[in-house]
Amino acid sequence: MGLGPRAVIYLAAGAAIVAGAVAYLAMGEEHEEEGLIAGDLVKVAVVGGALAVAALVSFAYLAKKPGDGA
Amino acid sequence: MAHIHLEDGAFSPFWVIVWSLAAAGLVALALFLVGRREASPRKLAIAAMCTSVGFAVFQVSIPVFGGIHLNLTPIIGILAGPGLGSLAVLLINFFSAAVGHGGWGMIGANTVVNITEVVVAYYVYRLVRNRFRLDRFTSGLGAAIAALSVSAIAIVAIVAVSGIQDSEQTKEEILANMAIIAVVNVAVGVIEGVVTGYIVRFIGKVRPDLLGEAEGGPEPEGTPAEGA
Repeated sequence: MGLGPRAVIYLAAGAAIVAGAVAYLAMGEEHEEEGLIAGDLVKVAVVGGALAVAALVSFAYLAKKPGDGA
Repeated sequence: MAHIHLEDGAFSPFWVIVWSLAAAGLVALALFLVGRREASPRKLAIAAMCTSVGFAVFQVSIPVFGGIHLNLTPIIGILAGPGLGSLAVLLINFFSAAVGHGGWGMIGANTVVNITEVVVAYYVYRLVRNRFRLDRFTSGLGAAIAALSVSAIAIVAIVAVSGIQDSEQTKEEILANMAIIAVVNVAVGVIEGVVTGYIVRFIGKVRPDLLGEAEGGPEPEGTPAEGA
């Protein structure tokens, strides 16, 4: 059973993010000494959390069909 | 996402000339493609809009992972096509160098990289959307990931071939560092892919005619400017 093109695209996206995160964390000690990695993780967590809240709100309130009374 | 941010003097004059000639060849090919059939005012307006938005987005540095920025080159390719899109990224690179975003000597190399993104995004979007019949978000995401992955490899190849003048690192060390940066760039490219997917999906809902060329449909006739 082969993967469809949609599955290939989303798997590639997931693999790219994982590979990028591993590569970035392994980038070197200078980043850790400068606090860049810890700072980036906080920023990514904050932005990711904000986007997750926005996505939840949009799915809950904006994804209704016109006839739903939205 | 992919852009060589080295300053002038990083590449030797020989390699600056080589990449400038390569870019000139690609731009000449783009001009030939654009000149084969007259571009409609609508198409030119889309390309102009893509150029201005692309330039603005280029200058917005996001302070994570050492400083990144979006390119929007995949969406430029999908909306403007490979011909006009190539001319758009040439202008973006000129204006970016004018405000100190990358050296003047990098315009050739960066134009080659960005034209690669535009062309790959356009043809991958066409393939995924028309042949596999996937939705617009997934098609835009796939096109952007493919384009930015190819361009990340192109950047590593360009820097590896050209070398960096007066660098304390050996060529192998430069290549190893560039490879890691390329992997991170591809990951960040997924973010640009999501942005591209949402933009394509939004445009597809409100103005699907703007995606006509990339989706295989004919360009609509009788725009207001043409009719005037």
